Amino acid sequence: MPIGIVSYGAYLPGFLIKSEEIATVHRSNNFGISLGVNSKTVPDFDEDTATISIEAGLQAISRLPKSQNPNDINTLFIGSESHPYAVKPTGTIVAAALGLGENLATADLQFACKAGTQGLQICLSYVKSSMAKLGMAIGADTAQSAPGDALEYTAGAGGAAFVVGKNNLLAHLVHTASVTTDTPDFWRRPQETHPQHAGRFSGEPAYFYHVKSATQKILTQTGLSPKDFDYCLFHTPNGKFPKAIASELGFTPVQLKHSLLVQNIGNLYAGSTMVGLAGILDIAKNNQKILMVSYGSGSGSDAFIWQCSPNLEDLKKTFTNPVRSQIKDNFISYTDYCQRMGR
Amino acid sequence: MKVHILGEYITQFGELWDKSLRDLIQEAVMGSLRDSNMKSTEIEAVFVSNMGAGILENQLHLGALVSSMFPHHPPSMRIEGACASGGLAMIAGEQALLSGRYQTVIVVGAEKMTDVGTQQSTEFLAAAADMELEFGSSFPVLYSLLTQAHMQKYGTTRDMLSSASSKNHRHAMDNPGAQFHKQFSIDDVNRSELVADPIRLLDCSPISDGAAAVVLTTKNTSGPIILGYGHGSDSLSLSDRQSLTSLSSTVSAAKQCYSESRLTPNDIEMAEVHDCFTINEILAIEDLGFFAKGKGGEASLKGKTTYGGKVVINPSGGLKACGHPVGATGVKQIAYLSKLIRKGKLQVGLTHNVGGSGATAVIHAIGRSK
Amino acid sequence: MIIKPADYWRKSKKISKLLGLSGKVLFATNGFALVSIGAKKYEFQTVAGSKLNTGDKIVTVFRRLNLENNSSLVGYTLKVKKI
Repeated sequence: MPIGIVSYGAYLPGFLIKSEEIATVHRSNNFGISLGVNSKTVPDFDEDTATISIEAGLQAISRLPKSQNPNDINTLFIGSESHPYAVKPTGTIVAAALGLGENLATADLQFACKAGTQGLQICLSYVKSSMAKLGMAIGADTAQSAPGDALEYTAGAGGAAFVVGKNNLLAHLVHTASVTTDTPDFWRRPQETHPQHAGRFSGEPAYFYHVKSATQKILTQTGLSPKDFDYCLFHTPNGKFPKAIASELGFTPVQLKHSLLVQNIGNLYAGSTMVGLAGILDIAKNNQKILMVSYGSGSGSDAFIWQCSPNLEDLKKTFTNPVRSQIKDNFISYTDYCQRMGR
Repeated sequence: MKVHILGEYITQFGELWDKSLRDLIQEAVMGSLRDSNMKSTEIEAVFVSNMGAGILENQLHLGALVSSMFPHHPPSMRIEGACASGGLAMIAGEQALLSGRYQTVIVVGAEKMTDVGTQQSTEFLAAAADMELEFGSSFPVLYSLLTQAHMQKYGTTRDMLSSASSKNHRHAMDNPGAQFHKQFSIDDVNRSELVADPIRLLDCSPISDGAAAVVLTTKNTSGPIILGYGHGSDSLSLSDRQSLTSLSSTVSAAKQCYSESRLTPNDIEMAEVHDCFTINEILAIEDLGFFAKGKGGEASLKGKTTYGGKVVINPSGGLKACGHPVGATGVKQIAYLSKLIRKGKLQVGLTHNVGGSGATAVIHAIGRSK
Repeated sequence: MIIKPADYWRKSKKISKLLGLSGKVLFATNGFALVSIGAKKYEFQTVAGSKLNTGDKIVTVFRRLNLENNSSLVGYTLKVKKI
């Protein structure tokens, strides 16, 4: 029996800061432009990964077909690099707020930017094994970066939630595959507020190797090739890397373009690929095929192939507030940004 | 049997760095005993009004603390009803007397608020609201909502609100014990800093230290007399109120008080009302029946609430200009009018003491004994 | 502000019933609003930095309190946001 996405939701905070503004304050070159990021989302004073997860989860639940009961969500995994606690799961806070009930298996995940998609794989396997009727996977972050660092131009905030199950599917899972190695391109120690990164080492041996490996693995295992897809979505740490990997793997700019929300919202870390998928589902048509490959520093990639339902357009016709409509031209100053980031 | 006031005392109200809560209570107790010409051992019971000592001073069991100031340790209790603590303590003392259990008691109200910063005192005062249903509010915010409701329904204007504040500051010039002796024009109030739109700084009563005490008796038939009282309640939260433009606790308490004392609003020459924010004076003078609903603001602006008008509201300067040490206010209102009666300046007066945003109201009618 | 674990626990059970509800502002000031949701009235803080006016349509959202220190429980509450 197929398994797949029953419902989804996404949430972007309502403020943006331009990379030009950041560059002006630091009196530096606009790294954002060279990284292909014009602006990024900024969480408000009272937002964090838990509140963002709840907003995304609430939208996902509101879009559930009437035949599906939120109380049947028996597993919840939230992936993030910015969980409110080192010990006490975001999942319990989100489950209580969403009214999910006690029949729930949950734990928080961290694997840099692929923690959300790892949660998605886990939820799919709970459903496939019938350990859960429905599962909810959330990837959300209020990404941290050191002032003046290149990451400051790209580290944004936001998240998406996916409810997976066996019935009323918006898109079913064709296949999923993952790769993992011990590659230290980006890390954060427990007492530190900002991550460290290994500069150019984050490129070839890290992002490119793992995304390419996972993509090639899933294509080989399914016998599919790039031309079979309507959309490709690769993790977007910036606007450059996904374009480069897409080209290298044989995907066209047309297939890629709808996944490049990063240009306006920045890198949402564990929310990145998840929000990217939500953005694609918002515009996808019946029977279209989507390749989705995440990347998490440390390192690993999760690859998914989704086949949109023959009646996807009908199923989602009542959905409101799509991802793109949440990108508001509400630009703030660097001072306002620092206040919100608690600096 | 009626309750008479043998003597009273009000401390200076203000920012009193050299006086602790105990000092203020002691001063008020001793002062009222001297004024009553009573020995401390003649006091049979002690009723203490205070809201904040538990939070601000970590001192509870205030009844016992005050009782310890008497050599014979009379029975005592502390009464708390937020800013209506004083009025409620008066009721407790009166009921103890009217039950026949005691013949002479003392009621003392006190508060020490200025040892902590503004944020902490604002948070402490906010505890008088519904901490669950009104979480995150403060009293300027809650009274701002009441002000907006009154302005929307009755067209009450900024000038009308400011006129109450201006008038109270003018009255306070004749009260040496008031916290402020500075006059403000309506324009000054209008231009004062916005606190919670539309409430401005000079709409708000201050943070104050102070104490007041009265000695009450049923043994003596001279001295000012408590003609009657009323005690009304309403929901703690604004969201559960039937009306935002009238305090039903005041209306209910007023009805009881007028009935018991056989008075009407027209009989009242002076009233000390609970102007924690100027809107509350406007609401009070309407709910007490001095002016028609919605006309309180206009009456204030036209000078009907000062000398030469219909009724003198807040001759002491009210909470705004005399000050508002929370637990002391309700007792001070009684003490102030009692003093005026003794001086021959008043025949019949009324006090109006409110807790929170109107969840509690206590009203007393006080007059010259025949 | 110290968030007491038992108090947090009792309150967190009630949040889902009031989350995501739409209504209208009756009166609002300084980060606080009296709103009507259905036939009932409620009082909520407004989301950080927002200014609401009488008549604005709102929805209840889940937001962080930011009253904790580095070692205490993180507090959350329902607020209202203009839609």
